[in-house]
Amino acid sequence: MFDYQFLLEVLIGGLLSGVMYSLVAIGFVLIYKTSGVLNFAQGAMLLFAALTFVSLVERGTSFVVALAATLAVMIALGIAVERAVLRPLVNQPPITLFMATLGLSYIIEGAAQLLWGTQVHGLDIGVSDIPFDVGGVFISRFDLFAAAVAGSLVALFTLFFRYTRTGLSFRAVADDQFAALAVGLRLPRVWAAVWTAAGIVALVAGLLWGARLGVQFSLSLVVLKALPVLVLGGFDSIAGAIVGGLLIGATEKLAEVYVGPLFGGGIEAWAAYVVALALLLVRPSGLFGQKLVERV
Amino acid sequence: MSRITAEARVLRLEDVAPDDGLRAVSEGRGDVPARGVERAAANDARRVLGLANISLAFGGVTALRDVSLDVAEGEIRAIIGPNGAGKSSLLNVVSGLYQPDRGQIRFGEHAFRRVPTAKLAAHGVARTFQNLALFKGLSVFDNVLMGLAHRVSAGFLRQIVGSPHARRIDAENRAAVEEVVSFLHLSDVRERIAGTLPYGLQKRVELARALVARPRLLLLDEPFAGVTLSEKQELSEHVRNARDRFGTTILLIEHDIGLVMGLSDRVAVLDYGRKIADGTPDQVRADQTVIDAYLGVAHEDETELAT
Repeated sequence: MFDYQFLLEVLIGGLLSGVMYSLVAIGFVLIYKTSGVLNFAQGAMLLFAALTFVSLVERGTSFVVALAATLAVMIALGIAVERAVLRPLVNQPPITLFMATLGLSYIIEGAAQLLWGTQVHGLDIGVSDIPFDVGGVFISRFDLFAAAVAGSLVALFTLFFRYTRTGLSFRAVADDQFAALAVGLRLPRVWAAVWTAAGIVALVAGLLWGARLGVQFSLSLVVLKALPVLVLGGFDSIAGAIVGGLLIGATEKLAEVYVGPLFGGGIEAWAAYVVALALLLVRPSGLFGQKLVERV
Repeated sequence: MSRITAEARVLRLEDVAPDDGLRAVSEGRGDVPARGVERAAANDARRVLGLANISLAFGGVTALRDVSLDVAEGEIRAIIGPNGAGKSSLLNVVSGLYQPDRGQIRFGEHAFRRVPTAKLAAHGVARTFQNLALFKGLSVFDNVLMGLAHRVSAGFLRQIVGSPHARRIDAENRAAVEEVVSFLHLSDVRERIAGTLPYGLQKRVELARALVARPRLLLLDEPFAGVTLSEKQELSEHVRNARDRFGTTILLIEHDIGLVMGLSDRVAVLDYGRKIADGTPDQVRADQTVIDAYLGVAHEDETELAT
């Protein structure tokens, strides 16, 4: 007899953890859409945010003050990156910018550890991980909380992009940089704003992931989990990042439970990449990515 | 009559050479309005754009040689010429993409050695591009709205909170967009994604985007290139209507001479970087140098100019 209730439980657990992947992926999408840069430093920013927050809290700062201070630090970081890295490299090929963000990721990581040390910190954001019992299916309270936070963040971004003029500027720059210059948009300002937004996403993701895994060096490796999400959803679609995250989360957990035993378990770590690779062969621009149509 | 004498008196009172301002500028004080410019402006209140002795060379290739040109308020002014005559170079000098080796550019009462591109919109200058610079992934409405992007906007927080100030600016902008969109008969496609429209319509969207900020001077870079004959007629009507309705001064460069002759008030002809003729369409059409430049030797059956 197949245990559907268990399947449902695994599926829901997978979807909810997928939301956490989406959260990281959205940080990538924001920057990729508007500047065509795959920001490898997103993971380092995440670590930096979480580490700053947790260190402040451990030094006796209240939750709210620490959050505000970290937010301020992330905003400063976003503006600094635009000034110090993006502006001098404007009009360089994407691979140059990618390498720059790779270097940046190590610098940010190094700075984070220089500043706050290398120990592992526990992070308690006040949500206990006691499962809910919904009709016999157990759902993690923490996962639910994380999903709610991620969901509202996405909703906020969507409203912002659709209804504010700054949001429209973001979309315009993402659509065509030359045209954006032609109408007199100040690209540096837009980029600084985008990196700030990505910093805010990194902060939220850092806190949630930090609470789950502990705040430590390996937190910056969460980016590696975001990559299959991006491949699946397309690098330039926020909706894609969400759906991609959900798919990857669900696939991972289901594969681990139902396919894992065939391989002796432990496939959760790489099942996502198999899925991403398979999809690349069929749809190179992802499920939601913009297909490039070029006249030949 | 009285106006001419008034100008003469101004000149006499000044006892400074009129191009004194020009020299001050060419001594390299970039975008600071030059001395004597105010007086020059009094001489020529109706001149929106003035080019004085513009020369530009790329290495050994001379793109522009000593070109002077003035554009009066409210006129439709065309620059024509064969391929490689320097039309695009001239437009790029006016919009600040190129810095001329010599000469001066004057918008209203501001004189420049090199036009500060970023401040162009603030000086009331808008332009369109030969190969379009639309946001192909945004709606027509949003594209036109971006024509107001350079304006001072309400602060970021105010936009999010939706303060009365931000709302008012927003409403004003939207009203301006609506007006231009319906003026150019784009209402039916206002929510369409710009990239999905036919080329001629995209050109019209770009025109709308340029017009929404009510520029004093509108630069059109080959507005009729690549559109069908009927679209050309429509587009030229729209350009003329825009001038009549908003009083926008228009400077355009164009290949299609027949169309330009019908549309423009004055036409300047470039050839090998020099200005070889300047005047009303009729004068230019009758100019022997122009005919030679275009056709080499004028045959009876090749008088495209005469259409």
